[in-house]
Amino acid sequence: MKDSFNPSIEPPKKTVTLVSSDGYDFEVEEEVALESQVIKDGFEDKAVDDREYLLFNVHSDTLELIIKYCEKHVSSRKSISAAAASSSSSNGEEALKEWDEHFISVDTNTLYDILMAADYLNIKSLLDLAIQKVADTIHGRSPEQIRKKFNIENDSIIDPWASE
Amino acid sequence: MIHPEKVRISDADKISGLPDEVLVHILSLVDMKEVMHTSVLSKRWRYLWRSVPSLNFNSHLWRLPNKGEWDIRKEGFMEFVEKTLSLHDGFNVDKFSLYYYNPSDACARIHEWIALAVSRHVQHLCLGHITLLPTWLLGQVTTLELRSVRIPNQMPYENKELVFNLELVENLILQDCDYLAYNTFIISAPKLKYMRVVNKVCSKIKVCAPSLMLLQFIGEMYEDYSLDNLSSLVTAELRLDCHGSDFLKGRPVKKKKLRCLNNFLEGICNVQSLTLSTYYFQNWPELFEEWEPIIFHKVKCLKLTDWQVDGDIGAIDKLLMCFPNIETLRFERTVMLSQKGTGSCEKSGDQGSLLSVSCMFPHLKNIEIQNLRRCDNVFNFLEFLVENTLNLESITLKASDRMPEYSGKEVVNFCKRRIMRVVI
Repeated sequence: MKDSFNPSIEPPKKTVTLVSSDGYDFEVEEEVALESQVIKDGFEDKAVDDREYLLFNVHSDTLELIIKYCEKHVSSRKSISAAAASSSSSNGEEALKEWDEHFISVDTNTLYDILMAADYLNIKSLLDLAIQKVADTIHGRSPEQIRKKFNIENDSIIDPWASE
Repeated sequence: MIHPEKVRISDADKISGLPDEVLVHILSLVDMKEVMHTSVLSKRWRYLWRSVPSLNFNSHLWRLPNKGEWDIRKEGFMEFVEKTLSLHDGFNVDKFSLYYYNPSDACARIHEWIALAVSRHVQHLCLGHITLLPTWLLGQVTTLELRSVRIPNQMPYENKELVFNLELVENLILQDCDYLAYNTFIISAPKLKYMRVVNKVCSKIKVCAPSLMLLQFIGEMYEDYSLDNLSSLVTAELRLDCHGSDFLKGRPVKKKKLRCLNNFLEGICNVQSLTLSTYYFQNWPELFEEWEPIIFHKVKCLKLTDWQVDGDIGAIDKLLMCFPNIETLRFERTVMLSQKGTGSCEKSGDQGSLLSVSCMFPHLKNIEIQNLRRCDNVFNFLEFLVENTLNLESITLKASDRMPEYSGKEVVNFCKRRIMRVVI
């Protein structure tokens, strides 16, 4: 909380490098990268000058989105806690929810990529957000509509209830 | 198989390639009827439903076309629930959720389902719109949610008390439940940490929860509160519905309400963070003249809701006297009685009752007013606060969306007079 009043005396930000599956480097602040539980686990054991992570399963397009999400969450968490030291609810949280809603309103393929990356990097809040979005897509649709939405090919000819 | 000529990279069925645990996680957020829709999608999806850790049933999805809310294919729904429960693999069921919009019947069958779910070590039980008899089963889960559940009294002449013995429950949510058939509602929950009651009906409530940390009462006030042994309580919230009709009620009714409020406040006097509606304090100042204030020594963060900024502010600073050690003071959902919103307020001069003992809030650091509208009272009030603090660090004012131009002259003038950080 003190930081928000004296931004000038903050120490310089430490960064880590994230490398996407297609070979692009992304330099992000340490606390942003630590949103990923996978990076957080064992982070302290890694040497300071060796803080580079090869993310074989995450394409640069997706990684850009993931970093955007983490940066937003780190910064708004700070502003929420600065606003009121011990409050549990605030406008900031509502605004963040709206931001999340907007962030996850993407086409099915991007949603899938975000979901996979969030699962791989173990970013729980993002995984929950993406999973809720897929669940919302299933909700209220007939099997045929779901197949169409997700491009699922029907390879079964048996009605699952017929056998029971 | 997918025909290669039809497939472009972006069109591939990526979703079916997700690991099982992610897919069942997705399905656990969907109603079982819709989960069954997915079981016919393809071979990949066929048996996934058996491992879904959260079983959600809602009879609403079984409504007959062109019929009302309550006309459901009852038998079809019941058979579906029973068939699903018997064929589901039954391990790792975390949550059982049942919304049954036909409150008049099927009590026994529903109890059987709950018993089955509990026997499979369900952790989270969520029941909606059903008729329920009080049962020990409810106390066997970690999280219990009852929404619009009706609890009838089978022996109304002998049995006046509804007793919930919630042995293992840590989180309890009661929303709009009907237990009017009982005089007193007793909750005994040794492990309870979080309790939220959203209430429409009134009766007496007794709570004994030594581990409770977060308590929320929202809606109508109960006829009486008896809060025993809330020694672990950290955060409490009392958000009362503010009905205009309360104005018309006579003095005896008001006195009774005041006594209830007092009982509630006494029960939570060890709390550290409190959210409180200022409605009664502002609208019935005459009653508070006789009020014996309760001093909340531990409260550091105080949030006051429903403050009528153009109403009587004398009542607010009388209320603030109960919190000598606050560090953060926030006003949320402020309201304005006169809808005009411009110019000075009707009662702007009314600060005769402002107390001016110096330094009443030695620890107050942050003041925040949300949804601020144009009103002189606010500045009178802020000046009063500033004069009674030693260590104030910041004042945050957030203008109401309807009054964007507000962040103008008055605020600037105020800042000039007070050399301090004001965030707008």
